[in-house]
Amino acid sequence: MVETQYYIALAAILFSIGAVGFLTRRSAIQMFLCVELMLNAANLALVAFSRAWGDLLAQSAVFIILTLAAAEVAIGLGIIVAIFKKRPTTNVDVLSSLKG
Amino acid sequence: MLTDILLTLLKAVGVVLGLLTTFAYMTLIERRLLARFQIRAGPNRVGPLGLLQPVADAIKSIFKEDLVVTAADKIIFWLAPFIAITMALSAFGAIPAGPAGSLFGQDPWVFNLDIGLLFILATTSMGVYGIFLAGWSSGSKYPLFGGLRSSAQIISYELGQGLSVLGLLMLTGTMNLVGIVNWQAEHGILILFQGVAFVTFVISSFAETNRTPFDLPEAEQELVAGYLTEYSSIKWALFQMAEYVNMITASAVISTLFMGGFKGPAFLGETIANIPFIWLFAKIALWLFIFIWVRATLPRMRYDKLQQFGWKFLFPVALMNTLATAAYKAFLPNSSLWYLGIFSVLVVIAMIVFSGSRDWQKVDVKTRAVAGD
Amino acid sequence: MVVFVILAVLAIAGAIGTISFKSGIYSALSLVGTLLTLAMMYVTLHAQFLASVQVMVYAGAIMVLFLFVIMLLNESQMSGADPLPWVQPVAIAGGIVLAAALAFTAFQFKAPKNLETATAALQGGTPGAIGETLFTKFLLPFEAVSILLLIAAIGAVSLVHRQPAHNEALETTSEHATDNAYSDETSSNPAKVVA
Repeated sequence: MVETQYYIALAAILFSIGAVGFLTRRSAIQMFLCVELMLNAANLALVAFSRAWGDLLAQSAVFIILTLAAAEVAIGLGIIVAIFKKRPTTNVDVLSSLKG
Repeated sequence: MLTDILLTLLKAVGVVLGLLTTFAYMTLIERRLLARFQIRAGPNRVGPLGLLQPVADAIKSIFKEDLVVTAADKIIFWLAPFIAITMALSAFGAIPAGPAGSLFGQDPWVFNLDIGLLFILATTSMGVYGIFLAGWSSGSKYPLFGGLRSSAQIISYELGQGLSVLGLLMLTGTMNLVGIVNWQAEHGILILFQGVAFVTFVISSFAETNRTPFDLPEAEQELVAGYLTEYSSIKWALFQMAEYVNMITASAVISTLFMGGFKGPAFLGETIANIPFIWLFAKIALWLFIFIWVRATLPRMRYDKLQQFGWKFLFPVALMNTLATAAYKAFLPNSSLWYLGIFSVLVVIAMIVFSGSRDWQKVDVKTRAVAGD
Repeated sequence: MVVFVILAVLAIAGAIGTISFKSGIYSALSLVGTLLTLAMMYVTLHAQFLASVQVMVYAGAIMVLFLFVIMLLNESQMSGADPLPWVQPVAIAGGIVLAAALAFTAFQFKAPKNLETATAALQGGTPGAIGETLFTKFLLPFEAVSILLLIAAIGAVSLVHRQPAHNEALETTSEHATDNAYSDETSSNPAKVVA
C-alpha cells in the first residue's frame, strides 16, 4: 500500500504545474484548463487524506468540489463565449478594456 | 490470484469475440429486416440466405484504400475510432449473464462492481469522445457539424438517462447489476413499477447510440455522412462496430435494469429461470429487433426539435418520476409496490394521449442557447 | 507501488501536456488523460464512487463542454508578441520552488492511523457510504452547492442568450448557419431586444 505522502507530493507537483500554466498561458480557455488541473490536484490530496484518516468526510468534500467545478465551467465558458461574441479572441492580453 | 486474472482475461476475450460476431451478423440481420419492412429481398447472394455477407463485407473493408485527408489532424484522426471501439467494448464487461457460479463454476461476468451501473454510464459517456474527435480531426465542415451535433445530443440525453435510473436505484438500493437483477427476481421486474423511467430510458438510449430517430450526427441528407464522411476502410468499420456494440450494450442494459436481466420468468420454475445466458440473450435479441424496427418506422427528427424534446419533455418527465418514487419511499414506506405501478401506467397513458399535441415542439427562438442547438 | 508510479508519470505527463501544447484541443485532451489517470488513482485510494463520478462528470461532461467551446470558437494560435516575456521563466522557477516546498511539506506528514485499519473504515468509498456522510454531516454544503448549480445554470443561459444584433461572429462557426436555413420561426425573430 502506497504511503499517503507520495500521493500528496504528486498532488503538489500537479498543482504547481497548473499554477505555472495559469501564469504563462495567454488563451483564456487554456488558463481555465489549468485552473481545472489545480482543482484536481487538490481533490487528489483530499482523497489521499481521506484514506489516511479512514474518514469519508474528505471524499464528500471532493464530491462538493466536483459540483462546484461543473458550475464554474458552465459560467466561465459562458463568459468566454459572450466575450468572444464582442471581440473574436480569447487572448487575455488583448481583453484588457477594463484596465483603468 | 494469477488464475483469477487469467480467467477474467479469458472471459473478456470471450465477450469481445461474442460482441464482434454479433456485430457482424447484426449488419446482415438489419439489412435483411429493413428489406423485409420495405418489401425487398435484401442481401441474399453470398452463401446460403446471404449468411456469408458479413465475411465478404469484412474482407472488402479491410482491403479498401485507407484515405487520410490532407487537412486532417493525423494523430487524433487515428485515435478517434480506437477510442470509440474501446469504450463501446469495455462497457459490456459489467453486464451479468447468469447467476453467480453458473458458467462451469465461474461467474458469468467479466467484472462485478459495486458501482456497476455508474461504470456503464461512465464508459458510454466517454464514448462520445470518439465521435467528437473524429468530427473535429477530419478537418472538413460536415464531419465537424456531425461531431458537434453528436456531443451536444449525447450530453443532453445523458441527463435524461441518468435521471431515469435514479428512481430505480431508490427502489433497489444498490448499483450492483447483479443486485438489481436479484431484487427484480424477488419483487417483480422493474418495468412494472418504473414504467415512466423505462420509457425515458429507452428513448435516451436511442439518442445515446445515435440511432434513428436521433441519428442526426450522420444525417446523410444534410451532412453527407456526418463524422464518418472522411473515414474509409478499417477505421470506418471500427466506427460501425462501435455503433452496433453500443446498441447491443444498450439492449443489455435495458434488459438488465427493467426486464429482469439474466433471470427468466418466475412461473417457469427456479431451474429454468436460472439457466444462464439464454434469457439475457433472448431479451437482447428482442431489443435489437426493436432498434431495427424503430429505424424502419420513424423519420429522423429535426435538430432543434431533438434538443427541445430532450430538455423540455424527457428531462422533466424523468425528474417527475424520480420525485414520485422519492415521495413513495418517504410517505408510503412498506406499502405495496403496485401503487407505483398504477402511477406509471397512468403517466405512460397520459404521455401517449398527449403525444398528439405538438405544443412542446414549437420552436421557441428565445430559448435557443448557443450550445443548445 | 508500481501502479502508483505508472499512474503518477502518466498524470504528470498529461499535466505538462496541458500547459505546453499550443493547440487548445491537444491541451484539453491531455487534461482528459490526467483526469482519467486520477480516476484510476481514486480506485487505488478506495474511492470507487468518486472515480466513476470523476469519469462521468469531469471527463464525460465538463471536458466535452470545453472541447465544444474550443471547436466552436475555432480560434487560431495566439498572435503578436508576448507583452510580458519575463513571466515565463519566473513562473517556471516559481513553480519548481512551489512544487519542491509543497512536496517537502508533504513528507513531513505523519500517518495519524494505521493505513490498513483506516482504509477498511472507508468501506471502499461506495455510493452508500458517501451518501451517508453527504446527507448527514455535509447536508448544508450539499444544499448550498445545489443552489449554486441552479444559479450557474441560470447564469449560463443568460450569458449566452441569443442577442440578434451581436452574434454574427458565432453564426459562421456554429451550426446556426445551417439550422437557420430551415427553421422558419427564426427569421421572424420576435424582437428579443436587450432591455
